[in-house]
Amino acid sequence: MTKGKNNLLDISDISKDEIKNLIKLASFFSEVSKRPVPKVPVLQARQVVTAFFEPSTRTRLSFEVAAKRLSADVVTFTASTSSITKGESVKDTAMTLQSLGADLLIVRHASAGVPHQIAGWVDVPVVNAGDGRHQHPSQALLDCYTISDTFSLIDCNFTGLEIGIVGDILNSRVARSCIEAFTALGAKVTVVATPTLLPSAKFLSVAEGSVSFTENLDEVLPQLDVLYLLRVQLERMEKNAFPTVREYNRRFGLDASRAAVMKKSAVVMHPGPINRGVEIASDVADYPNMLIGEQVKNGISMRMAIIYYILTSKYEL
Amino acid sequence: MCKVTDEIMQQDQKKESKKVLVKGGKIYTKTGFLKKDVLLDAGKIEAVQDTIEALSSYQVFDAQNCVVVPGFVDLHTHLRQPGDEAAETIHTAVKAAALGGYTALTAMANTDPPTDDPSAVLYLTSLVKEVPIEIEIAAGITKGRRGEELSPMAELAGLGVKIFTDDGNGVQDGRLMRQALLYAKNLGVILAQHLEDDHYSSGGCVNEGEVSATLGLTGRSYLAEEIMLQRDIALVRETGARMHFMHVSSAKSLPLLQAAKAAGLAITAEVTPHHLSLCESLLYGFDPVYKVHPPLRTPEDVEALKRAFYTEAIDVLATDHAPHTSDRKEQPMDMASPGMLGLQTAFSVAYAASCLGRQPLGFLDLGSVTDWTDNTLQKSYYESLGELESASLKKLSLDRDDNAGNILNARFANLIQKMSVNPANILGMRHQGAEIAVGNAANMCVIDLMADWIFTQDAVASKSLNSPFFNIRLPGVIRHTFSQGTPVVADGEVLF
Repeated sequence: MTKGKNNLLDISDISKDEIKNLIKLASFFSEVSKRPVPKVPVLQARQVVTAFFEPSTRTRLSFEVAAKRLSADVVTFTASTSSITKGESVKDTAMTLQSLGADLLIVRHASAGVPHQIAGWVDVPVVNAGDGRHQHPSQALLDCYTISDTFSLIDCNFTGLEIGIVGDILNSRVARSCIEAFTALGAKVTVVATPTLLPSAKFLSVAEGSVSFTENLDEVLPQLDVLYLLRVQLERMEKNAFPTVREYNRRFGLDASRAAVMKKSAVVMHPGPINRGVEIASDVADYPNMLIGEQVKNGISMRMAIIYYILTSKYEL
Repeated sequence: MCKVTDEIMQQDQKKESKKVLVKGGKIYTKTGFLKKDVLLDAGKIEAVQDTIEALSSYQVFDAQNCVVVPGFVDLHTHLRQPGDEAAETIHTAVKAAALGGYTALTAMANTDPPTDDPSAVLYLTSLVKEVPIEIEIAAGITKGRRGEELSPMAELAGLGVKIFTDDGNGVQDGRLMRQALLYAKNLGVILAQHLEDDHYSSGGCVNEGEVSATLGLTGRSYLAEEIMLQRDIALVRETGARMHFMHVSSAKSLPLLQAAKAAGLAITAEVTPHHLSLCESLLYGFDPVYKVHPPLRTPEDVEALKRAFYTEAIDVLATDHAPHTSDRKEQPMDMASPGMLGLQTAFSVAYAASCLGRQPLGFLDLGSVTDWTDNTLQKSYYESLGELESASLKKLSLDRDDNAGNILNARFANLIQKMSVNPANILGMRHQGAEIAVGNAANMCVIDLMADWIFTQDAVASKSLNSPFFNIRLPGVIRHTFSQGTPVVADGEVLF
């Protein structure tokens, strides 16, 4: 976060050391969350606005819980109940939210780049909470924290870890952010998808040699430490990206027989919400090494870290 | 209408207008550039001589250190009137055009209502009569530019329409395109295609490739252009009709154009100044000012277009001047309107790119290039301009050789050919694109090749501000523009 103000728009906005520091901060906030009164009075009278132009439950709630645990005032804007439905432009909406006294805007929009555009219009910091198919940096950071915590990694060093990311890479903002973040910390990432679900491989902005591509999940499954399943985003997907959900499930879905060939220590992650029976079979959705619940819990801590860092510019309490 | 124009018109009516003397410039002729004075009277060039004495009754324009070239002709202008007068009007577009050295424009049909029937053409005809430069009216190939039914092309041709296009939309249905070409074949008109097959472009806002992959934006593939061009070349071959291809943007299109021309097909093609000078990486900042259809492409595409611009593969530089209000541009990328201003900067940008060989913006460090001038080269351009070897145009290349003067000379002549002579020929405009010679219509502009300027928001004559070329030092200044013998721009100031 080297810009004039502390925006968090892309994973590339923050350095490897900043990722590590945010993970340490998140880990502290996880302790806070376990206290009888899971709240710290560090952001009293600061106003955090969640501006969600696209429907979302978990990300918006996660940011709001995080802000409340930091004692900030939380103002919620959702497009479906606002003047957007009366034709107000994104720019006018953003200016209005700033005038209402926002200290921080947390923005989600169905179009890539809107948080960047808003950051150019307003004077307060902006956090990207997911923009179209572009980036979802807070998700990638909470996933880094979850992996680091689960494997008790020293200094968040991912070297030696093999992470398989499976599914709709083309339409996934989570994949774009995660691939960047995981490889930045040293992991080897294998992307598993059909060519119709991939942007041209050479165009993914990652260090050379740190990412490989395959269509064969079964071939890579036994080596993986982390199996990261993406949601099949039928709402964003081009027609004929794959023939049927059934065929997708057979090629890329996790079921009991696939779970059985994975390493004992391996874990399964998913950004949610899951489509049971599509990318994951119901019986394995509750498999003990599933970290979906951890991801949600850690999401609050990481978002506390992000909000705290941006509004105080401090890595330590 | 302002006072000066009233006066000029009154003077015209009384046939008392002052003769205009353009003194000290190098003039464009068939054999090259010659140092001559030029006297204009009653819309025509009355005299071209080594020295013409400035009588007190003459209005004298200084052209020292300048070239005098035929006024530019734009085949591709969005005037936005009728329907979107908040973005541009015919009057404001014509001011921008005159400042850019243009003496003729072609009004695109994607207005509201669209230009697709006799009443729309007649209405537009009445509007364009009010402005002091010539405007050709382009009408839709299909009704409403919807690509479903042919517009009444014969009737519209009878009203003076010479060019038909659905620009903004390509004609998607190949069978319909074939009917259109056959139907129009003997009407003495040309059909112009917006080269994008929707299957490979629809919903997209940037080039499909590195930028679209990184930003997660839907791409517009070069395939959209290549596939429609292949289809249309086959249709031209089959029908024997004429066809013009608009805003060619991809390197992959160039061999197709070359081969089709070599086979003798009656096709012509244009490039825009922005596709010669801007790369896709500019989109990394999510600034919709760089959103345009077809999209900005890779540095390799830009370099290939620049090379092709020196060959017969590309006939015309056309602006695709597309004003949009800030409301339409300050939108999420996928909702922002595509297009950028072009008229005021076209010459300087094309001169920098195609003559001075300046690197495109977005090619190296993003945003770091703010100077497209090259004083030494600009000076040598002016000094090298002399008599052309007739074959030199064909020998053009980006590479310098020992005969640098000849190359500079030929590159500049090539630019004038493609900004003025060729577009005038394509439209069959008798009064435009003619060399500076006695008896020809006096449509011309005077350019100081050694000077430079910076385009700023304050200098915009259009009603919209969507230019990607602000705050870049640009080479070549349009000093004066004359339309039908009347000065419309003097010393860089608009006179109407």
